[in-house]
Amino acid sequence: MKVMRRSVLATVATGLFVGLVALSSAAEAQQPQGGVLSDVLKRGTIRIATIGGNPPYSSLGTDGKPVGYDIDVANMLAEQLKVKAEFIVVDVPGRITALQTKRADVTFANFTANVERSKVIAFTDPYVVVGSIYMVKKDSPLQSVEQLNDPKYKIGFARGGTAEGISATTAPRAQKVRFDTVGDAYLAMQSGQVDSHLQDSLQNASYMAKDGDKYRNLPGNWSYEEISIGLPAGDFDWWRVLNIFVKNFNASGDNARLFKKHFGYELPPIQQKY
Amino acid sequence: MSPQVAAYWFVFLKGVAITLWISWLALLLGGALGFVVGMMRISKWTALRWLAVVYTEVFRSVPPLVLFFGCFYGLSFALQLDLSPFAAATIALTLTASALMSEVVRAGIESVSHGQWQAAYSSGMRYDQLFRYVVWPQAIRVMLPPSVGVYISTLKDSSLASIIGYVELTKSGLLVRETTGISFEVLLIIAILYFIINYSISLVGTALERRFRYVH
Amino acid sequence: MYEFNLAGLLPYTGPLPGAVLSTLWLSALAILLSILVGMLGALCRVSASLILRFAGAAYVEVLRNIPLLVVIYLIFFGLAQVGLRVDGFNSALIALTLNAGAYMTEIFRGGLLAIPRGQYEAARSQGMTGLQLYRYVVFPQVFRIIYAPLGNLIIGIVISSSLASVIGVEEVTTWMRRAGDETFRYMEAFFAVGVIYVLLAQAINIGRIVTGNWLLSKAPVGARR
Repeated sequence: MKVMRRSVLATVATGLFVGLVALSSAAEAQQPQGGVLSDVLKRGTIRIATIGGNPPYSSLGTDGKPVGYDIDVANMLAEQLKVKAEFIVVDVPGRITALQTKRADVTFANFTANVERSKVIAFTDPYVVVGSIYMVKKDSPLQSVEQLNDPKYKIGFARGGTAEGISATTAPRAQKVRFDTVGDAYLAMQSGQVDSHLQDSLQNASYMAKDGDKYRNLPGNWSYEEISIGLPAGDFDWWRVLNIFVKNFNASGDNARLFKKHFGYELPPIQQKY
Repeated sequence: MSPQVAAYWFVFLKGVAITLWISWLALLLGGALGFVVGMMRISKWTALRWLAVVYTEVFRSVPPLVLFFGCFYGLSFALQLDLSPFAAATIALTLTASALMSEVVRAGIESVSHGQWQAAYSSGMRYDQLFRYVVWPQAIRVMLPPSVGVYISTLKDSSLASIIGYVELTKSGLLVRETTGISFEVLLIIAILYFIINYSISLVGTALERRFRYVH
Repeated sequence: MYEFNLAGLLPYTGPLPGAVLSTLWLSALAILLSILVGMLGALCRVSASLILRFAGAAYVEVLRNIPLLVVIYLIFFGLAQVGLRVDGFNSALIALTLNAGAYMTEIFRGGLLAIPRGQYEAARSQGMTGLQLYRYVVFPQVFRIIYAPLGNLIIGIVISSSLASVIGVEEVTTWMRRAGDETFRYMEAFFAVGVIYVLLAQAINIGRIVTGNWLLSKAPVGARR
């Protein structure tokens, strides 16, 4: 019976702990607002959060260092600030955490600016504009998103991203299968584990350029998303510097050049005709 | 091995090194913490004993994956802590390992018969002397084999650090796989690497066990 | 300043009971199947055939030394790529069964080895068939020896079922991650789910103790410990 008492004890104690925590709220001293810009310059390195396994935005080089479009853009920023670039690989929801906890100074991570996220972090002007596309295998019976909206079909996407909301409005009845990374979701569709991968339209174009004979898209573009540099909220000076960088980067043709290099086709217009 | 995957040999090697390092670190920290909790378990004070029981039960019942998540996202948000994936993974692994180690420590101490305690006390030993000269020399022998088991279990749990983006062996493999699009081969390589590491450790453990076997 | 606010998760509580049921269902199936696998494995490990003994030992060593996460990935993504497609739930179930089956094998083997050889010979000399021997002599005793480690392993299976979340199976951990991602109330989601797992584990613990007491009370006096 000794063991029994122990078990009951653990249960009761957990219950007590629940009560305690539910009653009290954890108070913590407010974080002093240090300027990221001065920190970066003083440190001599800029800490950049990026997501791994998200080609061609970012993926892993054979030497274990990240490579890709987002990486090149970030390196360009570091170069202009005359500091060293240090990359931190995070997952999709980890982008927000990294900025909130000031573990990263910026994110270059295929990161869509939206109001919900802007409540906790900040964004610059966009450097790329993307949509969302449902990709299926070439031999799939699916022809339209209306058809996909059926509980017998599975849609795969990366958790913590914008695909969650888009799939909920465009195909509410289909099964949703959430993966840790975009790469996982893509590979799940490739191997037939899900029927469709809801993905970024630019990524989609580069997948199609590479493996166009294996896949096709369901008609329709289901979102308008401004991919921007993410930064911690409440730091005007840092935002000012990054925004000037983005504007010059877009205007100078550097963006068009890097985009072509990684995606294999011309950069679509960043200004949307509403 | 296809050349596309073989090109990433350095990534795999680095992953192995990082996995060994973080699990070793967690075992040391977890061992220290587990030692404290294990000593609390045999304490004279009921409150300490209860606290130790609850600690062990809770960290044995919460899945390591959930702990990783809680340490990384939960602590980061709640305390505004600047926790790197490495720090969060180390904390989560340490908590899991310490719960296992506290049981190992307790079993080790309890393996020394009560008669010996009484004999030590009656020959005038103090509590610390009793442990130093009587309990530990015997308990260590009992504790060694299960500690190797805890190390293997910690090493396997460290694969979960991939979920919070810490690039150890599993995450290295997952990234290679996402970059090359070759799932089966890359995952098989990862599985084989883990097997080689853990099987070697368990062989060392068996050898240690034979060497330290306590003859009654 | 962080305010711990469980109420922030309220809009997400709808799918939670379903998620708990899914965790329970996945775990229950894995427990039953791994017990079967473990029994077979243990019989292999103590069999007279060298090949069966080796196969049993190889199975145990391989599965005990590879992280479950890697096995899940290997089955869900790896096998699918070479043409064998198993959906998320079943991938998780197979991986859990294979993994726990290895530990079950060792537990059952320990139980079998604890039965003195003389009992086998005695039963044989009574004219019992192999099946009768196991049914009436071996298993009743083995169960009394193994119910404690079995309980720990069953808790381990429930805990490990959380890994099904990485391949998109809807269960408790998936719920936690989604609720956290969408509300940024990660600490609360972690806390709620942590409590659920502790309660599940302790429920099994209590179940094990009750079963243990019942088994021991039914045992002949000599077999009590």
